[in-house]
Amino acid sequence: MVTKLDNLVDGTIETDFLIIGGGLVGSMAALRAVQSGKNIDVTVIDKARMEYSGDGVGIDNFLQLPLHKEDIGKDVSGSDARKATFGADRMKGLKSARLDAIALKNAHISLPILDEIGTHVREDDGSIKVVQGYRKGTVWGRLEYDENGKPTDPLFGTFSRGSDLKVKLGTAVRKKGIRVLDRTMLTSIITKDGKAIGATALNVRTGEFLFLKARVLLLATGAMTRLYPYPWAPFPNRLFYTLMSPVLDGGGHVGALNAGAKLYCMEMCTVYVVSKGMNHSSGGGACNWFFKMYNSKGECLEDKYPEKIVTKAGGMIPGVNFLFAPDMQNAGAERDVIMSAKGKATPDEVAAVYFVAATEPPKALKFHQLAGGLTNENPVECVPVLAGIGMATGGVLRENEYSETGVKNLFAAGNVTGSGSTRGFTWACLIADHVLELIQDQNQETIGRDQTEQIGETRKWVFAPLSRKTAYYEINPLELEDYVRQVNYNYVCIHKVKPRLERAIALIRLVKKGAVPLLVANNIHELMRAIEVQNIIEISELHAQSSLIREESRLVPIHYREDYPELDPKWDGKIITARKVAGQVKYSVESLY
Amino acid sequence: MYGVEINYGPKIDERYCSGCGACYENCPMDVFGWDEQKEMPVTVYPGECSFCCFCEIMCPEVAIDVRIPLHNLLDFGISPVKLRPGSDFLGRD
Repeated sequence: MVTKLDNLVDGTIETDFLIIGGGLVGSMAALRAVQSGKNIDVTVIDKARMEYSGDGVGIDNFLQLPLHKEDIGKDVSGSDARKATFGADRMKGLKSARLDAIALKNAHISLPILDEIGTHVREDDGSIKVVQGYRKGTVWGRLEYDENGKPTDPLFGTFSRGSDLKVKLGTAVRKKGIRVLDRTMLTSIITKDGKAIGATALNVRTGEFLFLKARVLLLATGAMTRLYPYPWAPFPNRLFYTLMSPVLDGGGHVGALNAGAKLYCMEMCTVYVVSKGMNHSSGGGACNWFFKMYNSKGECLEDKYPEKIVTKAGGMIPGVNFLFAPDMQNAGAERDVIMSAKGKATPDEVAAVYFVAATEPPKALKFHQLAGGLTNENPVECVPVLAGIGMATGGVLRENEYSETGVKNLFAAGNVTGSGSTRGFTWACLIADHVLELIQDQNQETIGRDQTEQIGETRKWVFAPLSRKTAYYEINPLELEDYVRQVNYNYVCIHKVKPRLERAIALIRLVKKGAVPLLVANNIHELMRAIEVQNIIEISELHAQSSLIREESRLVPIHYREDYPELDPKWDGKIITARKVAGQVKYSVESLY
Repeated sequence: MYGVEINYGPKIDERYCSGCGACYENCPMDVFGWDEQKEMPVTVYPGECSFCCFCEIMCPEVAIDVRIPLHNLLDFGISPVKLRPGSDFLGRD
C-alpha cells in the first residue's frame, strides 16, 4: 500500500523554478529570472544562510572576464585564448568546447545585475576593473602597469574587492521577494519518466521534511570539498578546515546521480598550494602567487624551471606545478619542504599579498594579525591541499547547449558542473532566460504512485539514523567521515597507483555495507552530518573508481597515476562518465567531441 | 566525546553579547545553538568550525573571538605565548 504524500512530508511547496543552492550561481539565476518582470515563482533552497553560504563568501579574485570587447566571442580553441588560460590545451576534450564558446560569447551577460546590486566591477569610465590578470602565456596574477597606470595587455582580468559580493547578492535576492528557504538541504530529486519534477529537502534546524514541486530545477550546489582531510589540523576540525567552503558535501552530485544524470571526470581532484597552518592560498603571503618559493637546497623554483611551469606542466595555479610537476617526466621532482619567502619578494609583490590578504575571507587577515600584524618576516611552509572535485575539473555532465543534465528539466551550473564561478554567472543568466521560455509550455506534473514511492524511500533513509539509538555499535557521522577521508588520503590522494586504489574501493564498500547502516544521529544537526557522510562515501567511491579507469596522467597533479605517469594521446578528448542504472553505478569512457 | 576538550572555535563573551543572534542566524557550519534561558547564542559544535571568522566580524558588540587550533597557530609561525587572553583585536579585557 502506498502512503499518502501528506503523511510523508511536513509540507509541499509548488514553484515554477526551483534553485538548489543559494551560492553565487543560485543567487544570480534567481535575480535574472525575476528581473524579466514575467510572472515566475522562484524558490531558492540553501543548506546554510544564503548571504553567507557557498564558496563565494568572502572570496576575492574569482571573476575572470575578457577585458576587451574584441575578445568576446573569440573561439576558445583559438591560440590566443588558449595561451591565456593555463593548461587549456590539455583540458581539451575534458570539457565541452561548445559550451565554453557559448559561455565566453556571453561572458559579460551578468554585468548589469552586478552593477545593479552595487558591486564595483567597473571603473568610472565603464571599463572592467582589473586587479589581477591572465597575461598572455605568462604567470597568473602578476600585473604589470604601463606609464599611465593601466595594466599592460592582460587578456582576461579579474575584478577584485569581491569579499562582500555574496552578501550583496543574497540581500538582493531577499529584497526582490524571492522565496528563500535557508537551512534546507537537498535530499533527493524526484523524477517522472526521466524528467525532474521536484525535490525533497530537509530543514536542518527544525527537521521539517519538504517536497518542493517544480516545473524546472537548477542544480547549483557547488563543488565537493569534503573528499580529503586537511591533515595538519586536529580532529574533528580537520574535516571542516577546508580550503573551500566545507558546507559543500557533494549532495547535489549525488542527487543528480540518483536521479539518472551522468557525472564526469570524477577522478580529477583540484590541488592547491597553501600556506601551512592557514590553509588558504593567499594566506602565507600568497605563497603560490607572489612570493618566491625555495626548496631545501635554497634554489628558487621559479628560476629553476622558467617557462616550463606553464607551458609544459599545465595546471591551474603555478604554485601547484612548482611543487609537483615542474617536469611532466618527473612529476614528483620537488616534493621536499618548500618555503615561501617574503624577504626575497619585490615591494610591489609584498604589497599585493597584503592587499589580497586584507580582502580575502577574514581568516587570512586574522592569521596575519595573530602573527604580529602584516609585518611577519618569517617564511611560511607551502603544502599541497586537495581541495576537492568541481573547481574547473569534473562534476555533473551537461548534455545540451542549455546546460541541461541527462535528466530533463534539471539544469546545472557553476562548480557542480566543474566550471568556474565566472562561467557560473554566465550560465545562471543563460539558464534563467531559457527557463522563462520553457515554463510557458510546461505544466506542473501530477504526482503518481511512483513519485510518492520515491519520496517515501527518501524519507526512510534520511531519517533512519535518528531512530537508531539502540544500535549495538553506534557510529558517529563525523568519525565515519574522518575514516573515509583518511582512506582517500592514504589510498587515493595525488600519487595514485592501482593496488592502493583497489584497496580504497574495497574499504569504501566495507564502509557502505558495514558502517553506514549503524550511523546514529542524536538530533537534526547530527542528522545533517549523517546525510552528508553518505554523500561523501558515494563520491569517494566514484573518485577511486574513475581514478582506476583512467590509465594515464593528465593535468598533473589533478590526476597522476604512478603506474602510468605519462600523458597518453589515446585518452585525448576522453571522459569517464558514471551513471546509475537500476541502483548500480555504470562507468563508461566517452568522447565529448 | 572525542577524548580531548575542544578549546578552539568561536568564544562568546557573555558580558558583551546582546543576544542579537547574527552569529546564530548566519554561521555557514551551524556551530551555534540558542540558549533560551539566557537568550544568547552558545557554541555547540566548535569542532565543526571552519574558521571563516564571519561571526567575529559581523558581531555588532565584538563579543566573539574565534580561537584558532594550536596546530594551525604553530604551523603558521605564530607563538601562542604572545597571544593575550580576551579579544585579540581590541585588546579589551
